[in-house]
Amino acid sequence: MEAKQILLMKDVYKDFPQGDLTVNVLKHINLNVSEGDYVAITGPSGSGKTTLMNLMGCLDTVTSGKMIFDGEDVSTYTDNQLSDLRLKKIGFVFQTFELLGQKTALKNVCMPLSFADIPKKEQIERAEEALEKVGLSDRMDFRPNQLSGGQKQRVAIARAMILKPRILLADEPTGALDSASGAQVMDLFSKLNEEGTTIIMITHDRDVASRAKRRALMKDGILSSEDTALVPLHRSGEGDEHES
Amino acid sequence: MKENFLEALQEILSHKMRSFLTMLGVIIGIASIISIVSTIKGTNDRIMQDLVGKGNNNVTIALYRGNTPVDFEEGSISGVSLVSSGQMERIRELDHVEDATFFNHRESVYNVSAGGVLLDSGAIYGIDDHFLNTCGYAVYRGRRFVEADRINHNKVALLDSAASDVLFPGRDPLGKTIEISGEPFIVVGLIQKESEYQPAIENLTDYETYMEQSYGMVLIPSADWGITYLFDEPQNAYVRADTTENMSAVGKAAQKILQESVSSSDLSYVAEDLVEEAKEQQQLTASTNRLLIWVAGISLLVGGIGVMNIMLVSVTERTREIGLRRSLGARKRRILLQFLTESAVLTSLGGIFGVLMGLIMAQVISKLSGVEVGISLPAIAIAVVFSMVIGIVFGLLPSIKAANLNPIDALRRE
Ligand SMILES: Nc1ncnc2c1ncn2[C@@H]1O[C@H](COP(=O)(O)OP(=O)(O)OP(=O)(O)O)[C@@H](O)[C@H]1O
Ligand SMILES: [Mg+2]
Repeated sequence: MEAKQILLMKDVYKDFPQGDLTVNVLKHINLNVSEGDYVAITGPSGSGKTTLMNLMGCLDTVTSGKMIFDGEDVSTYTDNQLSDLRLKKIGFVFQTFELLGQKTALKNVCMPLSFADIPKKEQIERAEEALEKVGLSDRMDFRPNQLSGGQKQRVAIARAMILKPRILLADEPTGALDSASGAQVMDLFSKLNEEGTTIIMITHDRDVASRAKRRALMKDGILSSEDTALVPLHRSGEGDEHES
Repeated sequence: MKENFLEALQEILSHKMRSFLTMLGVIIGIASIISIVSTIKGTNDRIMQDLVGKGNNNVTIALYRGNTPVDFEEGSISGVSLVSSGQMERIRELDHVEDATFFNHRESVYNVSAGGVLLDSGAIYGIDDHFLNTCGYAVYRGRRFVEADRINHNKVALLDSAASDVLFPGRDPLGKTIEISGEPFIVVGLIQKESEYQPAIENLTDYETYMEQSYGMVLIPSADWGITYLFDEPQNAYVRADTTENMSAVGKAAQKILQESVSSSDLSYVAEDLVEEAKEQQQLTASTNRLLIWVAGISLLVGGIGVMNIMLVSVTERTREIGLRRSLGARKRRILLQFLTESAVLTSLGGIFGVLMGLIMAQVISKLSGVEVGISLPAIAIAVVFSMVIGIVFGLLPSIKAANLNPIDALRRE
């Protein structure tokens, strides 16, 4: 019995213009994610992981190749269609949490609900429920600067899951956390996956990656199969080489 | 929309100092405009009240030679006949005319005395039956003139309290005799303005004007005018309109009818149109102040540019927030509305503060210069709406910039 396919990338390339040159960041990507999958992508810094995640999250479009999300070719989608798709079918979790500082935990979780024009009262009910589920029922009215890193990330996960997305995308969700709160977040991910949520996660941490069902390795813009994921992982996540 | 509004308010309140400084241009601009407009309105109300009076919609139609009223003291006038009763009836039957009176009068009363006491200032009128009603006088003691007085040429007189105080200090004037040009007249009644026609007295100037007008009124039947002044004189008229708005029209119509009596080319009946005169004076004060409004408008423009500047800074500062919202699924339009609302709320608040400050400034101006101020509700409403429009216009560019940010670039920003 085959699970339903959620994301299919076929022969995807992604270039960025860099002055007169173009940089080929992603080359010949093939990826097939099905419902209930839990995929960890590892790889050295600057190899193109975040770029891939932006494509999967419909924040960016491919230079060439095909991308099918939930059975639909999204390469022809308009900006509004992509926004609606992100709202309803994709949840994002970031390394740096990305909570809005002037809003309480509850109000942060409410944001996607308000974008979906859900009535205020229902927003609050659903957000409270979501925060309870991540074990923060006693922190609802706290602002982000009153929360620990692990708590912040759990608020972010509650926000990502609030509209029951088809897929949860996490870019180094434990990257800014100590090992204890990192483990808590990973437990939460496992629980969500057991409940049926499809998860794609980027990580530098071999232990974290080992919690996933499948592993892939990104190197110089090339994604290799699960088998090659057994090669030793790049560990030093600190030496970021981001260009901004 | 309500949520947008609350979110905008929260954002504004989270940077109180910055928001206030951003609003300052709008506050100053609106405050200046409101204080100027209030002062204009106050002055206009004052002019209207001074010239037209309160509750009394009387138009004076007087005989003029050239540009000045005819002085009947100079002797008999040729080229004009007496106003006929037919003309009087036609005037009283004009639309919007409540009543009309035709009278002779002198502004000098050197010839009026009682027991050797001279009436030093005042006016004497030869009146018909409509005078008291038209001018809003009531007889509070004694009686008014009756038919028999006219038929028999009874020498009777009515006095106001000012005249009786001078001529009969501490005594009851009723039944006593006064002399007008040597002719004895019996005082049969005392008159006063009906309370609804009392002018509003708010300061010393008002009081003085009031006293001048009410100082020494002596009324005799018009039939007796010839006895004291020897000639038949053409009458002037007071015509009372039903409303202040109708005064000009009524005055013109009555003037036309009276003009029929005039045969000389240098004489004419002229309606002393106080409403028109008031309007001219109002226009004069308004046009000087309109210049000031332009200056205030420039301050608003500068304020608007300041708002645009800060909104652009705010969009740059909040690029990550915008990126986040977009990645969570907010459409461009939602981002646009978010910033536009914020900008509009900011300037509307500025407008509201500006109105409050303007009203305070107007009060201060009023205290310092003695000019009255009037609060104009439409001006306040327009000021607040206008400041909101400033927010929308000058917030548009920053909001479009925010909406068009690329979500990945926005999220990548440090
Ligand atoms: N908008 C862009 N314009 C130009 N180059 C870009 C852009 N976005 C990414 N790149 C380049 O693409 C490459 C991959 O970047 P990416 O952020 O995907 O790496 P990563 O694998 O996520 O690294 P890290 O583990 O450090 O987060 C980098 O060399 C980066 O300079
Ligand atoms: Mg990355």
